[in-house]
Amino acid sequence: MSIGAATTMLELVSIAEVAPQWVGSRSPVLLIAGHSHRGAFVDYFNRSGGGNVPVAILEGPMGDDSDASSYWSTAVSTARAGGLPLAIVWDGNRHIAHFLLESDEMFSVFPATGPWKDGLRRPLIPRSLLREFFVVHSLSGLRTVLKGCAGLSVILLGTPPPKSDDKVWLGARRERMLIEAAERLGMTLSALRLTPLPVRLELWKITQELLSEIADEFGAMFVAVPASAFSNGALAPRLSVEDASHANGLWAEIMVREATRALGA
Amino acid sequence: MTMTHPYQGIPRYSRWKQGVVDGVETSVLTAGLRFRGLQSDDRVFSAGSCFASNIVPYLERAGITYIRTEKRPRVLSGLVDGLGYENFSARFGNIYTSRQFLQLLLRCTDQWRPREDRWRTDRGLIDPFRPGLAFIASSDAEFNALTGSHLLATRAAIEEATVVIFTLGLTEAWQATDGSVFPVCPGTIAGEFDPAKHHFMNLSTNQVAEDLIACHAQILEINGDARFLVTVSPVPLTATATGKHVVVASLESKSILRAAVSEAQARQKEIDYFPSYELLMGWQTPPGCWDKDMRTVTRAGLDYVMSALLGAEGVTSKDQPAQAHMSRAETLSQIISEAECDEAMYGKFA
Repeated sequence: MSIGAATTMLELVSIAEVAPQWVGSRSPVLLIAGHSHRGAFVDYFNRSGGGNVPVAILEGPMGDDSDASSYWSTAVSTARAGGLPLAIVWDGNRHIAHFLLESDEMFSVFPATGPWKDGLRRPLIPRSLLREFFVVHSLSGLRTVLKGCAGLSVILLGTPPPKSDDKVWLGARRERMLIEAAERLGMTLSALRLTPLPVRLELWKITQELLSEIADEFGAMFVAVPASAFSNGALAPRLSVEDASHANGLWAEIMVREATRALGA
Repeated sequence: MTMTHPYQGIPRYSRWKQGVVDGVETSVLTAGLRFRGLQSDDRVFSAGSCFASNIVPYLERAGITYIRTEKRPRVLSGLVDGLGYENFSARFGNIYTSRQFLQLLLRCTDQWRPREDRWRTDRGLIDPFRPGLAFIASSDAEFNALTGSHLLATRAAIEEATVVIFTLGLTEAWQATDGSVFPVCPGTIAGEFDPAKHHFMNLSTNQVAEDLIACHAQILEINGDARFLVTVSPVPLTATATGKHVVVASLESKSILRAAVSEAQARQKEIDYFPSYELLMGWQTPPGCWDKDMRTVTRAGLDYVMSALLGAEGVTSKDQPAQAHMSRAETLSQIISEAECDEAMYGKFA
């Protein structure tokens, strides 16, 4: 499959439901593929008005193993055919899926040792245990993809850091499905407690450490999220989409800049 | 004139024929002991040997609060630390000797700092007092923080307790040059044995008694309202370093522990004792309480002990339903993540 013409976001909705499809620049220096955080790069493209951005993004369904296999196969074969670097946005939501809301078994991770605003105790869990958790729950699929990338120039992109409590709540309140789910569980959003930001930040850092290590293992390049994307230990508000986890095109622009700099492009 | 003597009028259970030959009533086996029992509103902290962890499910089924201050989110439950660290009020694992328990209490209150407090390996830093932990610190700074957090959690568990139960397991132990007692000999589970640094000790009756009295004092320092309930594990030694036959060494060890409890109770009137040792090692012990290896207590054996501790009702309570795999918080975290994942993202930037 070749890289198609620039496409608008409205067209994407239907495209994504049927088959993987490249959107973005006709002559990119970087192909971007991955999970939901790739949406920030589409936003980056859309913000440019379909203009001169140096990336193309592979859109497409990844709902089941078959879809994902087809998706990654398309990504790798296109990068190989075009002799282009493939930038992978892998997962990035695992720390949210399991730990955004704080369970009754409160914990923290070194060096986030408190004290905590609420005065509660949060015993430390070894980082090594959480590393193992993320390896098991997130990274086995990445290894499979990277094994299929032999000979390709591959970049693993850092994923967005956690958001401030305010930003998370703002986003969560917009999710009707979440509100209904909370009600079904006998809870209201106001009664929920977010895992403290310093803990979420450490969990996110562990995922980034693992991405960096797996990049080394496969001879790929890891592009970390730069300090300029942070504000008060969270994703800078100007880089945030109004939900609990995702970043916008401005964040993607920063990451593309970092990636192209790393490539020496 | 009628002769009188102290044996006239003693309870029926105090006579062998009526108390044993004619049938043993489990409920009276604690008679005459200083044992104040457990109430449904008690909050229990426990520590001790492997046998001590067996009581926890019974307590929880009986509706007694078992304090746990180092619980982990259920989503992490698949990543288990070995050797029973999950089984006690905090993650201190098995504590076999009175000396190790005393030192743990002293560490909780910053009165004792073991000199040999970490073993360095290629994969990280091992805690000699929790050598079976599968997940360990990768730096000195993390090790210090993890240890500090654990000791705080241990202290917090005692602060919350109305009853502190300690089950004595062994008299044999291995200690460092500063007297710090390890749960197991260095080199067996982790670490390296160094004969210049690691020394065998076999606690005497007096040493155990003094330790128990000191433990009681330390517990009261932390929580003046807590009761201290001691038991002796009937489980024999896995191995002895005394050169004696393991049966002889086991009986010697258990006899010392049992005698030490009486000595401690004689000197400190507030220490309670529950006779789990006698229940499973007595002449009246029902058949079927021990497995074929003669070291493992069977379910029937545990039921027997716990019926004396909690009454028959506490043992026959129905098992609680299995806990849901995910907590409500985790369920909602996942819903948020899924709502914002992949296909659902397509509308975000429109």
